[in-house]
Amino acid sequence: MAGVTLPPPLDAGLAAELRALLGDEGVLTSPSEMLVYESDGLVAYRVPPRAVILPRDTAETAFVLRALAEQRIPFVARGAGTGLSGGALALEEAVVVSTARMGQVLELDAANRRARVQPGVINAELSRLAAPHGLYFAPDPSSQSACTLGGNVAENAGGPHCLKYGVTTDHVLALTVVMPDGSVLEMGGDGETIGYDLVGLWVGSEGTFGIATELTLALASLPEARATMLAIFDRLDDASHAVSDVIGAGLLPAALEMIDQATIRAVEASIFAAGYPVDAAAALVIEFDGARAGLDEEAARAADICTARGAREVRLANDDTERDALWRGRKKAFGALGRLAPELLVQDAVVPRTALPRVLARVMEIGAEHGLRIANVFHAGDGNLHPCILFDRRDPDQLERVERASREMMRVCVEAGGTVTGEHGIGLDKREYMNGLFDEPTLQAMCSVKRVFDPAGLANPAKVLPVRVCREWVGPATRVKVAP
Amino acid sequence: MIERLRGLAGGDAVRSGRDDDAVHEVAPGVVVMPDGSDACAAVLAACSEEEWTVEIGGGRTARSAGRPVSRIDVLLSTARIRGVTEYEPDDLTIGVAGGTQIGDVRARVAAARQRLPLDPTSARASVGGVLARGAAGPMRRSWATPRRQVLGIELVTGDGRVLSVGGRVVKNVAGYDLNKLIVGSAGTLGVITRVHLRLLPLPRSSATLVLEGSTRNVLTAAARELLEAPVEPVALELIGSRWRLIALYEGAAETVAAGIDAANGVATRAGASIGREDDALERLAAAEAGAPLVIRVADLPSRLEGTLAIAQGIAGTSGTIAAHAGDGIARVMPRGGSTAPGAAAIAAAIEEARAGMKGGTVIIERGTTELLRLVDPWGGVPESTLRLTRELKRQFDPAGILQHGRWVT
Repeated sequence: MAGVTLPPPLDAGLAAELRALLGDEGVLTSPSEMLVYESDGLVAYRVPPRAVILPRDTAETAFVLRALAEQRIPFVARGAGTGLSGGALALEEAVVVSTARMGQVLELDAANRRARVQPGVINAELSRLAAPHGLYFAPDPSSQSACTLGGNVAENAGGPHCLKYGVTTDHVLALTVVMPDGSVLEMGGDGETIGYDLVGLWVGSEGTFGIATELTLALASLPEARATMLAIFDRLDDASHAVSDVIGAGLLPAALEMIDQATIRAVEASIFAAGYPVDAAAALVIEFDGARAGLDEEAARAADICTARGAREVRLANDDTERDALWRGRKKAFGALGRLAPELLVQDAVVPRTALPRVLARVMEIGAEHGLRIANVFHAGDGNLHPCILFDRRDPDQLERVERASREMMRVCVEAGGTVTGEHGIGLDKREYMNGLFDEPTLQAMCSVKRVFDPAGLANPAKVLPVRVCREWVGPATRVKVAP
Repeated sequence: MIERLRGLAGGDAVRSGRDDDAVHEVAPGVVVMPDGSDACAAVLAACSEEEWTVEIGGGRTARSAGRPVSRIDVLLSTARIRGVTEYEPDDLTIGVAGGTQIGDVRARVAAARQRLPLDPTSARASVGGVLARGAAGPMRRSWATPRRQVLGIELVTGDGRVLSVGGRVVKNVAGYDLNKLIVGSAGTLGVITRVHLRLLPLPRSSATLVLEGSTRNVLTAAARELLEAPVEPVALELIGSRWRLIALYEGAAETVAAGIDAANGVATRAGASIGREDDALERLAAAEAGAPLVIRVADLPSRLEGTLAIAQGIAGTSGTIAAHAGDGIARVMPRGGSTAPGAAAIAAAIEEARAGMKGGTVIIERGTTELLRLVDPWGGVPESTLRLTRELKRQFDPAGILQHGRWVT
């Protein structure tokens, strides 16, 4: 870690005050304890935080933010640190406020199909607890066994089944939030919204408005049945056209995912081998769910469409074991790909569904032009691409090519009418693209909204909006150190 | 005023206000009909500079929402900002100008066997108006409210800036989700001049069933049972005073058949009669669209019986009620709201209901002038979020001209 300048420590009075409330285990200040908080899922960046504070509830969080505000110390809320856009990095000498000790499910209201939880509850844990009531939490990001619901709310997280069920924002009913000055607000309630939809505005604000400390989330009914199939293609282009055809035919699968050859081969060479044919150019995992009646009819239509588009084989799962096997290749893809190169950059962009064949082909060309290995595993039904770039950071030339290729891919997606992130967020990593996506008045409007919530600029500083737009955010020189 | 606005929006885009433009008996000074976002921006910039108050009008189907005011300088109509701007059916998305009527969009996408997942009571409502109100009908059970359908918005702010919020794709987390702030903001932040929306495929089959029981409680119990079945109705409306439960099933033929079977079973067990009436929801929408007074009572779905009892208190003996039975939201259509004693009785019932509810809400969606002079349509923004609400408004409408005095702030 040579060359990293550590931020100044908290002053002794503040540290003592926080320890008195939270205990020694609630205030971490030694470099070794804080090491894990230096980066998130986007491991390219490392920034040592000034301190890590772990409140246990709304009142403690309010106390912490009030104390920090008095000394104008910025803070970054952090869940499990699985984010992929550098959103949890402690820029501007910020303190990390971890939700790790706010892991309680406060209320499970089965009659109203909702739950009130603390932000540190793990996504999959809520579904596990809701299952005996025939319910689950629909958003299912790939990291769902690790990521927190607070992080899902901050990032407006997605996942494979968001095609049918919508992203996180569609499942948030009410929030208790702590504002950057330490005040506590309730947003949303049991009745209808009066005034602005503050809950909707808050979800996806990436921790730049404050910290949500209690979340009221909608639960969905577990479907009576599922029909899952794997359609195998000899040509990538046929697979992406099949996606467009399925959506265009008026079918609404719960999930429609694509895995390309590079990914299939990585999976099959790993311990997660799912029996996908390694000579296939691409495979689609298509799942329908809901009432048993009519489900097979929907699935059969999707299978016919795939066959008509040149699928060489469509495998239908006959039971849960087979279903899990079909999904395994998709769910373990990132892990399998991670074995192939020292580093894996998972990109995230969205294009209109009809543009998918053209853009996907162009993404592969861009990889080839830059001499990079690209693997694709993504939410095809939503047009949400995840090109994965495999590379080795120790080679500076390769790193340079990765950055150029990423920029080029983003440009292609924006030009096709799309966006630079469908579910990973802007964070630190994608701030530079915001100028190409939004015009100046719109960026200024976003900045003015940020200022309404956080006039002092303390909540997750220097994220989401380009620094140039919100000039007053420029604090001490930002120390972003690329990991050696 | 007229001359200045004519210079900005064109001679034929401006006329004097008439009685039939009136909002709660107050006619606007002038009516401006800009033909696009640039003209709209020029008009609003001038209005902000002159501090002329502006009422935004779309299809004029909801003008009786909101508080009455004593003066409206300008009625800005989006009637000439219309048309489908972008439509690629296989993307299942559409771009439309803000003043386009819902009925026109429905007709356009029906040709591709698709539908617009917005169901205000009137097809004459403009798309921009429906989003500004966040208006949803019985299909909210499966479609959720309009905020779910919005991908992007072009908004002309009160001071004449043109913002492009969101995008055109179905998944997008770039920047703040200002779409959510705008949807339901009742025109207080700006004029919606263009939107990109999600579309859905038309269902391959559907059936509307009507259950009639001896009492309301028989039908609320039946509603609960229908919602527990594997095939859930996509809309479920409980209407009275002659109590009926309307259940709509959609999907593959086999799915709809299973829904019908489930409903027949529920009806038999409840001792209710059951029959097929495929136009039942259309007739309900027409009745609601024609009602001069609509009050919404909402609380948790599990408290439906309590919500209906409160609704009954407001409806009195002669009013009617329609409830989204799965969502805990009742609409009350009392009679007699345009006479002084009638309005006073309804106002008292609303105040009493508000005082008695814990987390629920009582909102006047459409009110008579007499009633709205007596009681606030929303009962106020919660105190804790009032500062945020006002400051957000100021960022978009610094002169405070839009829907001046008409909204919660």
